Amino acid sequence: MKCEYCEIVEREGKAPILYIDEELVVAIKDKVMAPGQITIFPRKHYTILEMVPELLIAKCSVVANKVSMALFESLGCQGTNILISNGLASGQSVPHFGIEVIPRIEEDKVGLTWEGKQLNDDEFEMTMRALVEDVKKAQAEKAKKVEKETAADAAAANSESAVLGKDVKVVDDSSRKSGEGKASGEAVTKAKTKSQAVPPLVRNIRRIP
Amino acid sequence: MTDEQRSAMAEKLRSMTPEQLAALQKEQCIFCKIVSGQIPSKKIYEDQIMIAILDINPAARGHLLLIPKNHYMIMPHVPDGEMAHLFVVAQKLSECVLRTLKVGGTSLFIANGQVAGQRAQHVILHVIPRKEGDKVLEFTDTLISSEMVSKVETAVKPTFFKHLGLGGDEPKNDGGNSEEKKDSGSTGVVHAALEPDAPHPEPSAYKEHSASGAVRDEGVVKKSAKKVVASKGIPVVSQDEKVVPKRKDDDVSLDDIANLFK
Repeated sequence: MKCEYCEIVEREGKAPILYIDEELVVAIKDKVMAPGQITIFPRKHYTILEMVPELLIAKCSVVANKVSMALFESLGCQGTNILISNGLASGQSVPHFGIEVIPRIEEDKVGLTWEGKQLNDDEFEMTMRALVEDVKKAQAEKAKKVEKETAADAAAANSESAVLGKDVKVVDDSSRKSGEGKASGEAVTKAKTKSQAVPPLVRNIRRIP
Repeated sequence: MTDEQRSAMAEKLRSMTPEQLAALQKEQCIFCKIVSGQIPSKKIYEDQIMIAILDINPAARGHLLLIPKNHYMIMPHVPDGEMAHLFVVAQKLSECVLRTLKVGGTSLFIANGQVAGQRAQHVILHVIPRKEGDKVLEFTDTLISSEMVSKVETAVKPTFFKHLGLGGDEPKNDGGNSEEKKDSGSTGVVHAALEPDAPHPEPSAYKEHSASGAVRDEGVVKKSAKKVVASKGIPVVSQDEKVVPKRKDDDVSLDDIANLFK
């Protein structure tokens, strides 16, 4: 059984596609929280958020903002929600990563709220410590990975010709703003050749600032 | 707030320049104060563009607020580069939350506009740890007719394409490395934001939004941003920091100010 979103891509699904290119799809759903709900998802199948490449997340989020602006203007809604449901516990109903943009009007009964909880200081302290530690670990791992890849690519660049239309991945960790390297530090350079079909939204993407 | 107070405030605000209004908003903004450290917070991540803190009134333990350091009241104001950065970091922090708190999922959520649940005058991306049956972000799906779906398509498509900078029905395959921020092909709009030579965002002197709504930054379509803002009655703001005359009436909250412009 195919995934609902993959079916949309293959034009087998019923949902009309507002926009599609080599990397992502913008479609109107019929099973919605409110009419006008739009979903933006990568063309390739990624089940959950953590699997999606950073560049793709970047693009989907930028497009989601534009969809939100379009909904304001065309549907006359008074607000929008951006929602990523990640994992079964979050109510993710389609096993394919997507960003939902939901138009909101007053008293629309959509829901999407929560009750704020009161936690005691100890719980906060514990949570904060655990998260800060994990964040530092993740940053250190990323830095190591980046170092390894730079070394590997330097070696590869010496032995291969860059002119032959090969993609050269150069990871630039020194480009990180505060040296924390949490977000993507990858620089992707695509060699321009006439024979290479460069899809829109991808050309010359080098680094997420 | 009495009618008299309201009209006095309205008069005061009308006499302010967009720059002064922006500075006033920023001065009153709790989250800008958190960013600057004036108000303490439980920070778990920071870089040049944003910070991530623990929500003190969370939906669940580990509820994170991702806050851009620059003051943006609503989502359309956020430049593409910063938007992208917020989400990429949110992905990483979601991973941290899943690992550390051993929960079954996370929800990433932005409330844009009061009716959508926006309570703060500053754009916030929530990362919320989720457990089954937690009664957080509950929703129900309903099936809408294909007729309704077609209506949505007809209504939204042209405006959406305008925001993407596309002329016709199909995405243009325009060339090059253009950093032109005006309506270019789809490549221009999104990839310009991600160019390595795009202006490096500095929080204090970031983008300049002029009074006419012209935006000199990554990929936000000028006119539509202004149109959205104008239709909501919110003044287009500038990032310039100028001296703001101190208000005498301290009973007024930022909500009152926003309401005046509706």
